[in-house]
Amino acid sequence: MTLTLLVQSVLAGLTNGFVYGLIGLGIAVVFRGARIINAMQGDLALIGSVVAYLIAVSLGLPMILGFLLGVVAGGVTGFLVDRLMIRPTAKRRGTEDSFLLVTLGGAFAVSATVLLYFGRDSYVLPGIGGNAMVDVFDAAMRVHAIWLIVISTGVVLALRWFYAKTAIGQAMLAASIDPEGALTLGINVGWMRTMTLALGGLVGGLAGVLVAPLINIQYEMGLLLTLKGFAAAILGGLTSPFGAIFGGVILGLVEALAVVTISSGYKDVVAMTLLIAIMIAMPQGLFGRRGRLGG
Amino acid sequence: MLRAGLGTLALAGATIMSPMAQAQGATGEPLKIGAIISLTGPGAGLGNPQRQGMLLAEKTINAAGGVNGRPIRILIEDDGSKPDIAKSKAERLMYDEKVSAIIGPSLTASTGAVAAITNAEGLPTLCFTGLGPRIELTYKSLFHLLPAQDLNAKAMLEYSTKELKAKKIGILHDTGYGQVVTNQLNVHRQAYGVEFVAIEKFEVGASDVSAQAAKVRAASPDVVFVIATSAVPFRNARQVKIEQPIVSAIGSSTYDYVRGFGEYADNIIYPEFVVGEQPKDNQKAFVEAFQKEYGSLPKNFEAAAWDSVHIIAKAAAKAGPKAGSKDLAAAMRGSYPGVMATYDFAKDDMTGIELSSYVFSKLVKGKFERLSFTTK
Amino acid sequence: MLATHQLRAGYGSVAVLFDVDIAVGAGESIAIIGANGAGKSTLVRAICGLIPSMAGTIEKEGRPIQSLPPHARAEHGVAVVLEGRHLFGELSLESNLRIAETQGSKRRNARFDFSFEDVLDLFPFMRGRLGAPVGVFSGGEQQMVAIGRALLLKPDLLILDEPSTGLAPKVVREIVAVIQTLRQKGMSLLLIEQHIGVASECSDRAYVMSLGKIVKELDSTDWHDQSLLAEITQAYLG
Repeated sequence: MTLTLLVQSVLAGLTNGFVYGLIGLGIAVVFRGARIINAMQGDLALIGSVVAYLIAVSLGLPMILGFLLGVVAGGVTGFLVDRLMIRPTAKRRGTEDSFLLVTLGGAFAVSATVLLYFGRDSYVLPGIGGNAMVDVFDAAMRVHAIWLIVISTGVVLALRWFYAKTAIGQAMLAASIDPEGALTLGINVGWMRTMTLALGGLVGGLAGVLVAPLINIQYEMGLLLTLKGFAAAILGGLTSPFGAIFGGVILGLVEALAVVTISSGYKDVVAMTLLIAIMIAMPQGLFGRRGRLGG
Repeated sequence: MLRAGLGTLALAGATIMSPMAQAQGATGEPLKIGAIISLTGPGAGLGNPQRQGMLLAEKTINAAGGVNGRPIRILIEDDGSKPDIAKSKAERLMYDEKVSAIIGPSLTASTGAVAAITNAEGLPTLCFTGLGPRIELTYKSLFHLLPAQDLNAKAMLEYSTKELKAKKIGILHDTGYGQVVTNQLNVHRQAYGVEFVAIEKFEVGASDVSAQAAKVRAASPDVVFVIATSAVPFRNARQVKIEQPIVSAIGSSTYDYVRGFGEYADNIIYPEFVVGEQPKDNQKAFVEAFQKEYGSLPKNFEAAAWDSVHIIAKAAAKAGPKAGSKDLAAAMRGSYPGVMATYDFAKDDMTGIELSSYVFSKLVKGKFERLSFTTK
Repeated sequence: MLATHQLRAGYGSVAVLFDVDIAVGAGESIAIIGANGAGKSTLVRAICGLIPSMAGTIEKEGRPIQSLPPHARAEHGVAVVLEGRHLFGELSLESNLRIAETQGSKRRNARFDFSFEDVLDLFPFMRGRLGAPVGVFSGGEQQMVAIGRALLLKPDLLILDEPSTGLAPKVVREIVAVIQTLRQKGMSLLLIEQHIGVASECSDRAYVMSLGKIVKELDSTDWHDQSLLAEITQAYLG
């Protein structure tokens, strides 16, 4: 094990970790605000990246416009998911499982649509700084990956501030913690849920435009990302955006280190064993709360 | 999307051509040939080029008067990359349509399913896969148009040892196609006197394999084998600064895959059979005709399909119009100088392709260049 | 201030309240007493909109509000402290209060302009605990947080559903003291109670409910009629 190899695996682990964490972040946001497990989170990223591709590559408009519209597309989709899928289910007194199933259906629909219009090929989205790499002890890291890490951290901090310090953020938390209490306090719980889904969509779209340059846009991208993101979110406690990023990084690092220290064949075994062990020892995740505080 | 358009054009062309072919002299009862290939599903990257090749062959043969005056008609079915669908399509073609021969399938599992059925009737079946399980050796009517992975592995080792003078090789492979080839590489390792200093694997859908690639790099190989059907390992290998030459296998050399490599489509060597940019002399006519028909360059799978139709046509002409399945199969069981390769179906491996048929190409900035290296 | 006319409400298609007529005058404190299952909490939920009304009307100062969604009723000056309190347990005391304060600030021309400081004056224990999550507070403290929250909505009418249930006698005294303070300020109150003692101390009049109907009305003199109260306790309070 040389220093270069160790450094390279840590860099790979960090990069992948933030990818997982960014999706997990979206899942945490939606769960925190609406108590819904959003199986479509990875597909929101797919939509964001597809829109960015169409704008920036197919139409040749500036990359920054593609990025922004990709994020917005995610937000709009989140809004539509709430209005068209979540609201009707809630009206029919859906349980937590129903919401999960509905979003899972949405995930498949998005994936199939992308397959229909784009086929099986993978598409390359240019990253920030193109393919430029940075040298770290003779190991390499993409400049874009560094940006991804920086922006993800920024998003986490922004969300923390949003939930703790803004009236709307606090109202969104209240609406999810105790909907009836919130209603009697004048909070429009239905709108809060819509905004949570839209916020989750924005985060998902952002994840898409940041992650796509690293893994290529492809119709199966959504579900694969959702699975990893879900693992990251669970590790982090499912309601904490910071926890999701942290969980993702742990997962990414464990995977990468397992490959270089044990064997590439054992990568998933090691990572999933760790996940199971943590969930047994700390069912609330690394940053979640034990049980629910009543009031 | 472009391909779908061209495919429709080709199909339309073939349908329009047939009556015209009749006008030019191919009359009489058509010689029906069934084709079962993967047009959808994971094998679509193989099946679609195969379809283009066989349709062009049908058109060309009919324009030249067909088989002793009879036009050929190819009935194409999609097995969706699933063996059970392949099996039911085979039954339909055999019993309902009463085809004289079957071309395909594209994937090994489907071949297993189809061959078991066609063998019962002795119906000649020309598949686009290499020799599979042992039982296939007992199928008297089965012909393989692509080499076994055994041969692919040897071709990779030939180039690496004879041209690149490698002693230490690192392998980065996926658990599907890559595993199959790697198994064969391990079998022939000693004979070529090389050491595999790193063998790293990853699952087929993996989105990032940088850690595995880094481990291969750390072993300081002379040459790196990347065997997979996705662009990811090729990109990651170069990103973690593997500067050694990369040798890959025929399964990832189609233009579709190469497009996904982006700017990393460089300094990658493929042992294959057809390099459309610089075809061998006996391939030139086919390449020109293909380019004229479809506006793009053909590669291995298109050529194999073209060959398959011609093999049947030649055998049918030799065996005569009254020939049954057994006679047709017997007429095929010999050598045939194809466009893709020189076959000898009488050989043990039921293909007869030799290392000498291999052509070595190098990807240079996204374009294929034919190398002068041969295995003779 | 608030009146219901022939109110019918329930869950799904099953009616639980039948033809309920009550009235709370401006500045009055009215109690609703009855056994468990009499429909008292259902009446509260219907008034604040958590369940829809099937028939009849609910009027606030003459304006019908039965069609308004629940979150809109706070703006019309109706605040409720639900049974079980429904605080935001994971959030801090300050957060709980500020959320209500934000909503309350939307009320124009509120009769009772409760500010953050006013609530801290009313419940002095809060001053040192603003950062703590309310989920760890004792039952009595939580009840006071719930009342403080409701007051920050600047209501004309405050509805309290079973404020003394499950609390120690000493704590109940404190709650009663707060209620009396609000009465003195002139706030209209609707009090749901099982404890007839607390009810009589804190209210001017009362309605007795049984099986979803109003079965008796008690006026201020009846509260002093011990034998009448004993009779009612026997018959309706199980």
